[in-house]
Amino acid sequence: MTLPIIHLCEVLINREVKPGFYELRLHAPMLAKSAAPGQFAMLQCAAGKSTDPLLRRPLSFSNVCKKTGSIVFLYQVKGKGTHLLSRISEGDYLDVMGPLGTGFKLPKPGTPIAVIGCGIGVAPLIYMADYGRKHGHDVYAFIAARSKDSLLGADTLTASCACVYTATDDGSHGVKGNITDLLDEAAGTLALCKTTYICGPWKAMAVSAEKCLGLGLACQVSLESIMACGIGACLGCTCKTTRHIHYTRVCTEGPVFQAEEVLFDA
Amino acid sequence: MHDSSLEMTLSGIRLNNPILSASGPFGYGLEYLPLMNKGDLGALVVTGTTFEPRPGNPPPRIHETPAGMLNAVGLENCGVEQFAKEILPKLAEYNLPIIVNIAGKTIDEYIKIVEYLEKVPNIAGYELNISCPNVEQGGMAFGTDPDIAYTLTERVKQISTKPVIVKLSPNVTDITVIAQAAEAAGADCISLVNTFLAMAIDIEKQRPVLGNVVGGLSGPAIRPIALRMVWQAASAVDIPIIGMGGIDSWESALEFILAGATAVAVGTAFFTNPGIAQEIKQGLQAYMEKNMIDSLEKLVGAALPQKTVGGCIGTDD
Repeated sequence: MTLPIIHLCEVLINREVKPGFYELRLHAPMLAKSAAPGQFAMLQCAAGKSTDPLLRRPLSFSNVCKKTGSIVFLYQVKGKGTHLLSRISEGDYLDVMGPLGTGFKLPKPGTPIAVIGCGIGVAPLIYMADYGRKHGHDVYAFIAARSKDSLLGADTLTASCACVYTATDDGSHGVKGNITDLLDEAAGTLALCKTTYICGPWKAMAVSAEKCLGLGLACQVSLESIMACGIGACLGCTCKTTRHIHYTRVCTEGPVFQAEEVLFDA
Repeated sequence: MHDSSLEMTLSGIRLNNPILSASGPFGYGLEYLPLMNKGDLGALVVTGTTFEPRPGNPPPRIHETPAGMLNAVGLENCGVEQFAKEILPKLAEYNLPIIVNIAGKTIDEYIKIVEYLEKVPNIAGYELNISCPNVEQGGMAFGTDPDIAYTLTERVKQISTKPVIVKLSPNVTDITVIAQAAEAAGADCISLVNTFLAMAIDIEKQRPVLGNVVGGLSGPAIRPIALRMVWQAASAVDIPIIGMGGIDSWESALEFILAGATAVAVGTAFFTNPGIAQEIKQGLQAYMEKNMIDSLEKLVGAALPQKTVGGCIGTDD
């Protein structure tokens, strides 16, 4: 028996797109049908049954093609799991559980939107930008990384965005500086976007969200967390939000939250 | 055709099969049960329930280790009242025996929880959590002192009309001492093992990884030690045992049964494989059919030296 959320997917592409960053494309028609932007899947990183690494890895959908039934993940090799994932060959099969979590919400039709991402945090925003454009929104992208070697999505986003603003710490691509500098630099454009979608490292997300909220823009953030189950049972991925006195599960109530709900300093 | 039944009775609780959810990883079952077939799980053991709601520990709460994981969730739960009023009714549709894992800071808190649950319908039994490594008071402290374990078990037994299972901590020098204390106090069953107290350190930050500093180690990494403890406990007591600790296949489940466990519980393995209960069930059935064993009970403790060969492989009858 296969559980309805478990999919055995053929690997179509698994290639390094920037040093340490990979694109994984899977043939997954059932997943492609239902995966919404901002949602994620739990991937078994090693082929066959592995006890080490023990747990699946959560990766958000970076693009979905409903027509061809393929899904794309972008991931950074950080530890054992992602290292093993990077070794998987085209033609192999991966056990993928999903789609999981609560994704991004679209604003009123016709309003411009912004996607704001740092490093690997750009991954879910590529799908969001494409989804937003297909739903009639003008999309602006603000992306930052350490250098051009870790700047993801600059090319892909040009297809779905009216404009892609970039920044790198070393100035090797776009503005020299971090995401805050970039948002200041392009503040005029940012202010036109009534709704913003942010993903990246915790601190970068917190300052970007503060800036957007300060401009009176609606702001949704996609949180990253270590997870064990991915479906809300284990309570391993909790964070502090205004929704509950105690803890909130990132995997089910999120990973996308309204920025003002998230207690970034807690 | 050989009829290999997995149906059984565990301390008076009728089970469709011997596979239980381990308290904790499975939450209240509301996430995993909808993904499973009816009958995959023999009984639902819900997550540790305290009298008042508990917020749990600050994150990070989990950390992966070789063939295992650390958790320091800290018994986050909604408290017994909300469990009984809001969650229990939602579990009715799964038509499963429900065992409530109970965790108190004091003996009086355990008693208050049991008193509350005694008035609630559709509960098959209690599992006394005297082994949680992630709370400051109660928890494991109760499970490492045989006198306290005895007193707690005895007092709960005095007021309980349902089977009482005592869940043992592996963080002791001699598991048989606590197992015998629970048995002497009237426990109907013991379950073991809970997680092993453990930790990890972030070498970049030069600080412990977990928000709670220490946590409980689970997963296949602990299985051989858990199995040894079940073996030892089975040699020391006559009450049934629920064996657990890193079970992630029918083969490993069977090891625990052969070591003396009447039933087994699965926890961490659900994270990777939500279909694990069915796999174990089918694997056990196939093993029994292949070896012409009509009742699982014949395999319980079959590896123990003092047990006679009920279902020993290699015999024809």
